[in-house]
Amino acid sequence: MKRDDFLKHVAWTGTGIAWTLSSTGVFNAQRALAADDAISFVQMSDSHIGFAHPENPDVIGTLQQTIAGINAMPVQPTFVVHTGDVTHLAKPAQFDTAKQILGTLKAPLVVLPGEHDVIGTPDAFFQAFRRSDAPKGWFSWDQGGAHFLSLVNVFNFEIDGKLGAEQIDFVEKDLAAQKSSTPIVVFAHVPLYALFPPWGWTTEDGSRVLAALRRFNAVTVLNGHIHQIVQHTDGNIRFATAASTAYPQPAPGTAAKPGPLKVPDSKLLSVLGYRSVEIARSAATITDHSLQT
Amino acid sequence: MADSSAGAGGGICTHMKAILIGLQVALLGIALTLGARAAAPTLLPAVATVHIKDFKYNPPALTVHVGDRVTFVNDDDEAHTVTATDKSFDSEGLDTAGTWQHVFTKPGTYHYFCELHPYMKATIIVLPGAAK
Repeated sequence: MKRDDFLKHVAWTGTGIAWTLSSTGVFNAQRALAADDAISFVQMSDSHIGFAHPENPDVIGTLQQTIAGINAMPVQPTFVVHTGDVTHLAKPAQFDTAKQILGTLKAPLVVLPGEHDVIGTPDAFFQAFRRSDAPKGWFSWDQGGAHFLSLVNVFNFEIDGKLGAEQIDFVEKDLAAQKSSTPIVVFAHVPLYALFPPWGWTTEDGSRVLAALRRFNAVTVLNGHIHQIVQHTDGNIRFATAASTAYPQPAPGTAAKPGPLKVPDSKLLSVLGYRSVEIARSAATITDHSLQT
Repeated sequence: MADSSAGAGGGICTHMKAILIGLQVALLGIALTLGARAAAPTLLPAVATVHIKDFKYNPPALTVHVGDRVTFVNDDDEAHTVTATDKSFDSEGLDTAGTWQHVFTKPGTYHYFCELHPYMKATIIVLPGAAK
């Protein structure tokens, strides 16, 4: 198989490629991929299925547009992560709708909850998206040369995002087993650093996790919650919040309170979207795509 | 192989399957929209109404009597909840323009908050005996 064909094959089969390779013994090709040390995935966030107000009367439509955009990517992502607030009010019917739409993604899906998904109880969220390898909601895995952590900072939600001692212990143990040269990628709904505390856009016990991330060469922390793209670098850690697929929120401090922001109808798609991320050993490339065509 | 851990693979998606899912989603969307319209409940007579506006409960402290019904109205653009700290009552998610009513059957001081914005706090004091 020529390399060009091989790359096309990767595009077609996504995560299946490693199996294909090991069963056919095309070991050079696999090493060539490993030498590139890159993995690409897509982040989407804050779909708020069930929301039906003037800021976006058709959140189902904009979620479908998001998925159409991802499914049309020439190279399919290894996986798609939804960083929470899949639903607006955590109603089982809203989860059913969301699950059906998200089920049309070609790539595998990872979903973590936002506070809107666990109002009162996380039961409906877990019924829709429970993973056998994540009984408490948080989990980690290795893929494409990187180490991924999917965290939950919306249980016991008090003033800000909160991880809780049990989850922080898990993170510290999990990270202690990683080499400092391994790229680390962390997902959580609420920003893990103090992005804008007056609006609760911070994780009150996030500092222990950030401390455990300090020794790594390259860390990427991806969050949702604030319905807008904010990028921030602090030493070895690169933070980026994602656009919503449903509606924007005001920039920090530009309104009395956070909440749905009404923009002109013609502008709405330009502030909604998803992002593709490529993680290589030395660098993370983050590319945001709006729904505006 | 660790590569399988992101979840079940998609990929084998026939056109027919996609069309069927599309139809189901469209029907669900219609059902949800109708459901939302039909959901406006008939309000029973209440002794007091708490309005939620600008991320505040107004009034922040309210005194009623055992047997009294209180109406909560969300006047904000953001969803909120009315949730007792002791979990003795819970509106669950209250959307914009949503209303919820609760009858207080036991005397006491009830602190409540919004599960989505827990810094929003207020109190209802329930006195024994009917006020009339």
